Amino acid sequence: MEFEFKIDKSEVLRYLNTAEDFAEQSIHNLIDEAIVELKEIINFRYIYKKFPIEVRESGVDIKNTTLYLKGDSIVKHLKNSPEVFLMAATLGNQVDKRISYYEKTSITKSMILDACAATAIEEACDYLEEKIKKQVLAEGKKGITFRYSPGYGDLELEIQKEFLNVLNAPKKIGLTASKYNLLMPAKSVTAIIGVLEKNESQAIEEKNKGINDSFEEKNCKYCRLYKECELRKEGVYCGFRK
Amino acid sequence: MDLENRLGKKVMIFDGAMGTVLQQRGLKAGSVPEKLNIDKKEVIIDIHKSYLKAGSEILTTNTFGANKLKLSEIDYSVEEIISAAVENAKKAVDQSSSKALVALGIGPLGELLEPMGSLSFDEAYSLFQHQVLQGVKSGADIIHIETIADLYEAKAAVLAAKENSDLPVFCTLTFEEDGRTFTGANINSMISVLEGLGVDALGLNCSLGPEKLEALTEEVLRYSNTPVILQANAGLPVVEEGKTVFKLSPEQYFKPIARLYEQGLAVIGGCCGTNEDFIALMADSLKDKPVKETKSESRTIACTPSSWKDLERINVVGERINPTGKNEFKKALRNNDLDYIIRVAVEQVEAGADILDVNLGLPEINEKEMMVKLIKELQAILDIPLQIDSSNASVIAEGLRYYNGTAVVNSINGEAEVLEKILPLIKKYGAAVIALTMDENGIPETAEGRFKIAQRIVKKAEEYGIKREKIIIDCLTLTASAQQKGVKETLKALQMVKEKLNLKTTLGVSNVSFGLPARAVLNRNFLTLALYQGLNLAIMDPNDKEMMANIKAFKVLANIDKGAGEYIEFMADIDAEQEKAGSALESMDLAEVIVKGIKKEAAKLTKELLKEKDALEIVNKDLIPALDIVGERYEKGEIFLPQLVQSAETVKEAFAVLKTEMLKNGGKDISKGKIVLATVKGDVHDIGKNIVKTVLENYGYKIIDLGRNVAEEEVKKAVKANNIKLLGLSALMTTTVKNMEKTIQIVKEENPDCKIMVGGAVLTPDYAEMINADYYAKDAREAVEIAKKIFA
Repeated sequence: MEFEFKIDKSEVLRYLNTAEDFAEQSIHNLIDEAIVELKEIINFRYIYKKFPIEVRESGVDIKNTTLYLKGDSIVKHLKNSPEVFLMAATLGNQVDKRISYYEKTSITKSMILDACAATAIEEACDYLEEKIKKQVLAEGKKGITFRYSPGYGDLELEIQKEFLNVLNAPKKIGLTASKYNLLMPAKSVTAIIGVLEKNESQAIEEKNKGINDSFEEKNCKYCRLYKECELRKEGVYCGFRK
Repeated sequence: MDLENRLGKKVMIFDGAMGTVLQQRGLKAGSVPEKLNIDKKEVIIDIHKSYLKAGSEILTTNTFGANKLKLSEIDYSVEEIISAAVENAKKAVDQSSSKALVALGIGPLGELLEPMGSLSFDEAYSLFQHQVLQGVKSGADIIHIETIADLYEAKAAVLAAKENSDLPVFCTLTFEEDGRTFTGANINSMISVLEGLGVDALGLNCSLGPEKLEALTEEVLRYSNTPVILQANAGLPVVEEGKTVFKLSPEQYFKPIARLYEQGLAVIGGCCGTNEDFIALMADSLKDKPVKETKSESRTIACTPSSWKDLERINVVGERINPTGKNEFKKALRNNDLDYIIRVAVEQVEAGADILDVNLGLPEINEKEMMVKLIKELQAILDIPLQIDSSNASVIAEGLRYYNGTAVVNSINGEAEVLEKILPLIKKYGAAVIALTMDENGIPETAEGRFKIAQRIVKKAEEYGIKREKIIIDCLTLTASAQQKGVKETLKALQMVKEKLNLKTTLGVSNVSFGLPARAVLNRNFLTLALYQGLNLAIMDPNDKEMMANIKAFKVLANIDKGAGEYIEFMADIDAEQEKAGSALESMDLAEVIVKGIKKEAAKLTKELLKEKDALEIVNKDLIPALDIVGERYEKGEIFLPQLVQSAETVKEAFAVLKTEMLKNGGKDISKGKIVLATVKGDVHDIGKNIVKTVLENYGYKIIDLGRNVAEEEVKKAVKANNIKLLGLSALMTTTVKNMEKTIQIVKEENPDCKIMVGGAVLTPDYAEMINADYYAKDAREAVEIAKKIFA
């Protein structure tokens, strides 16, 4: 496989909502076992493609496709990008099936495997993001925006199916969306990454610096979990953890 | 054109790509290509004509995604699109004065079927049916199902084609280089399922270039008795200047095709990236050439999409899913407690069963409904072929319809009525079948008598078009205590069936020892004798380690387990287990084990405690206090969710022992109240709900778990039928919370007294109130507090 999964244990523990210095040996053992098991059943597949865009007031038009991304948050996100990468990645069905198996045989194990898989798909996305970044830099551009997914801010989850169709993802990587826009296989991600041009570097760099605050301000307030979100209280944005 | 006399005899040339050709002509990514059948029909006709000119004998209509799900966004109906598409293809044929046939192209639905997704088998079937009916009406000549990754979806499509038309059916799946589809299906399972359903041609398309698909196609050719199709891509696409291009030339494409022709390829064409040049080259060289004979090594297997068992070999069939003589099992069946049955299944798989027999014959339950439900549940989590065991033809019919793969049926016998009812089902679904050597007159005493019945059954089956390879003869084990002479007759009959009829065989091994002491000794010896006579399917309890060891030993002695690798591994596992069991933690009591969450110790300690006190006392004095400690520590933040859940599961193990005990003593349940739990429609991930369930069970509540992706009506029905006071609903996504709201509304209409608690990642107390839930439960602990309040 071109990408070696690491599956960072501290991330797994974060998904399990434990304390950072969590030391219970039996759970640590289960996590170690789950990581080994998961690596065996992951069938990592991805696809990404670059498109020119036109940013309008109400949304972003992805050129040469039928896709139009509506909302303030995506407009802000891509304001300085002439092009975007649309990406989709999945760990495959086998992971879902194994998690379901453990739901019937050991809930503890299923929780842990689920957390490991969540960690793995994030790692996979980080890898793809890095890959895209390299490509963009090699083309002499400034860099990229962070990953932005359908469902963040006021970007509707309802575009999921069309998003996948634009990438031909059902056929190419076996990733589909259900009637209710759940990605299936479940351990999958779709995301939008903007390309940043060189001449805008100064302004964008400035913008990026403060992105944690401003982004939270501007986007979390659209979220239904605004008030309750434990992550937000800790100053972490769920779509932007790095 | 006379397809029947050409297919498999002369090479037939399909067409090439439609979608990628349209993209080259400027079709936007994400748009619906099927629309062009009406909006730009001249373009479609033009492409069809280019293929006819190149030599195509079969055109595929531009209807890959012409199903109701995918067309929902456009203004044309499925009927309009399909009728225009078939017309376009026919027009091209007419205008080219060709005799080519028109195949209705049917691609995947674009949503995953259950259990992986949320689309039901019946929904998928009716979507395909819709397409097929219109295709027939519009005059298509062939139904061509293609680019399918999920074998279950292929089954739904083929059934829809067969049950709603008389047209020939082709079906091709799309594989990755490792020989699996995205959903994990393998070549052998594909062949078995599609041939079983009676398709006219099968094979591979899309995904890769012909060179990368060559080895896989060879495998298909080796094991298929049906004409084989290959429609590969023009290699892997690369992106050049923002455009997707395929780099393989027609000449490069043709080389592996020519090699595969030599091995028996019958139908060739192209998929993504190919065009008329590819087709022209193939047509020029291969059209009208005789199809080479394949060296088919066809085998008879039982399978799921991703695993298969060769029925010619020795396989252990787990017999434990069967209510006969098991009170706890019967009770689970009556209570719809599938979890109990699933545990029995998992145990057998872990013990090394190759196939699981599923018998749910209990007069007071709806066997048909239960069979389908259990098959779906088992296949959602396990990867083992099933043996559908019933005497009721309608149970077998439904079981076979919803089973994902090729199943074994247990059983038919020599009675004319049974054969007439069940053989057509075996044929239709391509199952393997166990045939008992008995008939209206009972079991013949002699081996010869049983042999004759076997002979008769095979003859009858062949009349129905069932291959003899699919038949497994059961010469019937008699009990040594009652019919001692009969034991030898059974073994003799088995040998006769094996040698003279060359059929596969099976026996329910443990029947031999009824009524005698030390049954295991008799079972083991009988098993070895039967294996020596040629037994293939040993129906037995795989949890019996010594029986399993006998099987492994026989395989060594009979030179089947070459190098004894399987035997050595099995013995090493047994040693490892014994070592583990020996190192048990000694000085812990039940409460400590619970607090620490050491699941495997709980059952043992509970059994020991039962020697001193009764079950209820254990619940109140040991389990509940331990749970309280765990709960407190969790609230204080001393332990975390994984530990809480681990302790809850440990208590569950203890409860399982106590329940068995109480049932044995004819005692009542310790249930404090019944609660229905469900993950709402559309949502398929329900770890959260299952955690809540486990914890609630710990506190003595009886949970009726409706599972995931549960329709509103089903929740309402369960609430009403059980007079439920508390319902728990879970939802994970903002998009499915809407279904939660609907469910609440529907339930409350008829059950105003039922309180409803909700939970899930996207819910908040405010939102819970807005959708009219009575309670919001942040986690499992809160759910317990709510339950306590309701049932106080």
